[in-house]
Amino acid sequence: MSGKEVSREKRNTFLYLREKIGFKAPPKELQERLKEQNEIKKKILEALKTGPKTVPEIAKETGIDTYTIFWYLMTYLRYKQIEPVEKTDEGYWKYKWVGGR
Amino acid sequence: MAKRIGVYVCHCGGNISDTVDVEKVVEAIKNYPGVVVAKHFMFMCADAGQKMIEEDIKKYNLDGVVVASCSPKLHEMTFRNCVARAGLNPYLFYHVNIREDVSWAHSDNPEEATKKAIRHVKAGIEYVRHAKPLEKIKVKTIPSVLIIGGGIAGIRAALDLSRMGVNVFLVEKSPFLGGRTAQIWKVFPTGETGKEIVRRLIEELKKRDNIAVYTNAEIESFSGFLGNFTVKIKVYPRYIVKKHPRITEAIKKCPIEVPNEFDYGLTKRKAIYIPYEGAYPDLPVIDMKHCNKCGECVKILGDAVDFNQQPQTITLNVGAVIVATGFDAYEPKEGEFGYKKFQNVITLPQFERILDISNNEEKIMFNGKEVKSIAFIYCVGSRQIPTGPEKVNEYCSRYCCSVTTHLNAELFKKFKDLTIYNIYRDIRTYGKYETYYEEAGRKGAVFIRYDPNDPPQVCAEGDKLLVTVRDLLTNREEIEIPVDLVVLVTGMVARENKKLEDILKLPIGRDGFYQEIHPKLRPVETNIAGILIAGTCQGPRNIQETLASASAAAAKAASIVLRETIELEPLVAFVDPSKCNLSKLCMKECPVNAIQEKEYEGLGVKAWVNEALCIGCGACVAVCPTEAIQLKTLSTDQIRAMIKAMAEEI
Amino acid sequence: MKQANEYDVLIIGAGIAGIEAALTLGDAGYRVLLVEKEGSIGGKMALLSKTFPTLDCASCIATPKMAAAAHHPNITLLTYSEVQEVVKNGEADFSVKILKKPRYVDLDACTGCGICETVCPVIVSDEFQYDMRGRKAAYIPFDIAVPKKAIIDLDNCILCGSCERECPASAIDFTQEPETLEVKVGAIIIATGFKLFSPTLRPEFGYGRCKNVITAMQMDRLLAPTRPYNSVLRPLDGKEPMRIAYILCVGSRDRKVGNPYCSQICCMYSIKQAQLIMGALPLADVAIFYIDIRAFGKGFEEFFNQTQAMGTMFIKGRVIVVEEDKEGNVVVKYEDMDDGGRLKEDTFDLVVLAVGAMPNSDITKVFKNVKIELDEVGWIKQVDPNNNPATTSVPGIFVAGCAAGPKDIPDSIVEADAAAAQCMAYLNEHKYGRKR
Repeated sequence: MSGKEVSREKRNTFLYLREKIGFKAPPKELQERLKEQNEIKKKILEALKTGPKTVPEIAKETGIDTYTIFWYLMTYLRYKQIEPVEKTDEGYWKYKWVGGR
Repeated sequence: MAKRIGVYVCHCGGNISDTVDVEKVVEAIKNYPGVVVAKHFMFMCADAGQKMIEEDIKKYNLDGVVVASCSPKLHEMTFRNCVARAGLNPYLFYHVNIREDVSWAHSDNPEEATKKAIRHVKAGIEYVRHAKPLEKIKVKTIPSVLIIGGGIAGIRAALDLSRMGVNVFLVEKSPFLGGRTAQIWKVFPTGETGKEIVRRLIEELKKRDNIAVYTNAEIESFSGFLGNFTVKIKVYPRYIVKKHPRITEAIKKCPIEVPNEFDYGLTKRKAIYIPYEGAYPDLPVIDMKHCNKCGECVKILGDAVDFNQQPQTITLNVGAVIVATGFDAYEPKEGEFGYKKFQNVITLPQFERILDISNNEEKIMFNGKEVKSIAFIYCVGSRQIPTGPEKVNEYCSRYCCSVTTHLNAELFKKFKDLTIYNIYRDIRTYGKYETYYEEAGRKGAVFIRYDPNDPPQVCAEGDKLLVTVRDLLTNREEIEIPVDLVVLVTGMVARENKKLEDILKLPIGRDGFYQEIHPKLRPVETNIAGILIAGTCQGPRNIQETLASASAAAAKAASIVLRETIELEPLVAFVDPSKCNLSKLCMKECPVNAIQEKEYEGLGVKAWVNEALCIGCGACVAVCPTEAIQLKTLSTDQIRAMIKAMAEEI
Repeated sequence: MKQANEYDVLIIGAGIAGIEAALTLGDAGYRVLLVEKEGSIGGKMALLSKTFPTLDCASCIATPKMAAAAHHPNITLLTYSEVQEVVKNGEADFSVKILKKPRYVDLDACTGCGICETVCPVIVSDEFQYDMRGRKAAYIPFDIAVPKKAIIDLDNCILCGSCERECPASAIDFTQEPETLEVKVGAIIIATGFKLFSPTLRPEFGYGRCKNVITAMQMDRLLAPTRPYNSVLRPLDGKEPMRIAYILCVGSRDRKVGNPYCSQICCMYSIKQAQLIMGALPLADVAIFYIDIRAFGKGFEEFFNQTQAMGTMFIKGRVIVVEEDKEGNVVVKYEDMDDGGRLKEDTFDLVVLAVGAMPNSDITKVFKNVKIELDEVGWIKQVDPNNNPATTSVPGIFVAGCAAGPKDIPDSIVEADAAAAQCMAYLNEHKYGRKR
């Protein structure tokens, strides 16, 4: 069996590609972006621990701007990690964390 | 009876699940007799949904499938093909409509809507339990196409089909081909005359050996079905039977003069005539309505004239039909913006004729006087606002803004010191035609916007016309414009064609033009399989769009006739001769005469259905006293079972 | 005898025009190779909400055609693939090189379950949602994608192996390489569609600078059932907009940005969206700032009248500048032509820019020994508009749909069938010579 076929069998073709392109670590920009993503997630999770919140409320608590918060919340929405709960009179939805990492 | 049924309830992306509780529906029917798998899914029609059905058919060995989703008009075919791919007979599938019939109709009552959905799905399950596998009906196709209408749409479609190797019959009502394009002065973007465009198409037409052209001919009768139509046409006599070198002389000698319809009555023609030089077929015609048989032309042309020529009836057998009968120009009412009240108020088509027939290269002449200033009034006969019960043309005629702004630019190019006013509502120079609006403006055309509730007034002042309008672009300032000529930019209207419409049973839309079967996805097909529509008879459009539409119709016609056999849906009736008592009530009821008498071996003469003609309306089933005649896809037993299932308590 | 790598017609682009042409040709018995550079077919139509003027659900009417194209016995579909080179050898004889980009996913094994997407740690902006939210580096383009299979975006992949580990179908395969396919075809249809105008080229309208200024395509996404948010909300802070303004002719009828043409569809899609907004947000007010309302097609004027009757405001006047206030609302300064051209100012929650259609003609670079002419703005040129509009400057190569200029769905379909007719005629003349 070729090297390709072996890694396909063992389900570690990602290691095959790493070796092939001499991959030591992800590019710096990607690493930093990932770090930022995880930090933001942590802060949002922290804010939602105490119950469903609106975007402005989460922004206030985390110190991150509303635009970024909303963008991430809608991404989590896609993966069913958050759910809309109810709408305030001003027209803001309260979201709650429902699961996944 | 089917015993292993799969039931799939679609969310339709919220269109259903927003009202109907799809999970509840699945719960309610998953243990219904015969059901072995019941699921709900976001979009059943998407590839993933269809895959799910295909896999389940194999996995659970299903012999029946029910999908509860949108209207079968959208996806019945989709799901039939889907189950067929998995090896299940496509007629063991039933499409339940719980969107238009349930979710959308009862969006205010989710609870009752859910119950109704359950009832509908149960009925669907009963249908499938009784369904029998069926095969499509194969018919041979005739490799010819009939094109009704010899304008540019008809000719383009004829050329395309001919090049594909298909025989074409091109039938034109008037004595000459070319239609209304020949009446246009200059056509964008090339600046050619309409006649040049027609000439180019006809040059190609002349080279083809599989296009039969019948001019001065009309459709007399029409019957048949997809792939096999029988059409009778009547070719009316021209009374000129062959070419002759002294035709021009004979036309000059003719004493009768009548208004020339090619020039919208602005000029006269004789009773013996050719509408313009280069018209095809290159043979004049005698207008018998006005001819007084004085014999002057006979003296010159001899036996080229035959007053005894008779109409000919010809029977054509074709596989598909393209209707390309064109449009009429809107005729303004008397007094509308001064039309027919003042001589110098004319329509755009009339103006095109004046420019075309003029041999004055430097001035625009009308009624013996030079025209130095023109006011175009847009949207005459289009975008009309209904004020009472009388039907008006609410639609936009699409072609006019581009044509008129382009005309502005062409006029400025050719004639010096012209003043042109455009009195409009919206300038709809869409797409690339925007550059004509730009050019007209750059060359000095004036644009004035009017309110349709406060339209411009036209009256005479001295030897000029005075147009009074409140200009929306300058805060409704009232402007008085003296002009030499007022041109009404008239729209397109559906042509009077009642005889053809009755014979073909053509579907007509709200705006009077022929109606396509689906306005977004199937713009050249009608609800009558095998009849296609092309060009302006389907709706107002310009030359480029008409040609594209004609080629599109040719493609659709080709996909019917290029195949030697096509398949028809088995949505037809059939007779069980053992039950038939030859009451003949079915034969009386059938609207397409599809039922005949036939000798059945050992049973005698009973009723028999010609499947190719049957349209599956079911009228025969309703009147049969013994239930001998049934629809293949819906038996009376099925109906009873479905009603029973629907009436069950939930 | 046809070889395995020989086709009658190559169709470049599988939007609605490419799909329609493929189906018409396939139904008539011709073998079609349909090549699409994205991971799914359907083009922009599959991403729309509803279509004007019938308000048909776009995905509902597109998916049967998409599915039919994917399953048609005469159509071979290549997605995530790009045409690299076309050489014309003679009439009805083209040699084509196609690059099949690696998805790093085995198409036969993948079931479209989406688990790889869920476990992938990297978030990237989602181009199919027009950057309104993120997707993962391992992703399925959208819910109704055809084929509904995953793609690994290697540029944003950290090669952590999570997707490969978690995939229940063992479909992830990082050993995949780009593959070049060489085929011979008899005729070609260019159906590559259009690009949307990039509104940052008109900075006065505030796109980018004001987060509550979005494009109409983004709004159509918000109105579609596969929307990026849980409702129609404004991107700055997720608030439900009560007052929405449309600015028409952004990037069209505008020589300054190099596009003098009208994009033909914007008036109608804005009017359509106004109707849908009034349905989704019954208390919302919609105002449309226009130069001319171009409701020219079948049923368009009636649809326009209906929208006016429903309460949408139509204001004739150009918008001068769009600015953001302290609360993130959008302030629009405009001239009101119905009020003598007075300069006015109004505040809205959300501004939608009716961005125009721009040419997408890079494909012409792949034609090595023939030249596909473009018009003055860059669209594929219809060289004989008053005789045969589907033809280009090269015999045997035809154009369909928006590749030749902006147009709506019915017009794209008509042109697609017209191009199919020309292919059939051309192939019969130069290759098959049949008389059926």
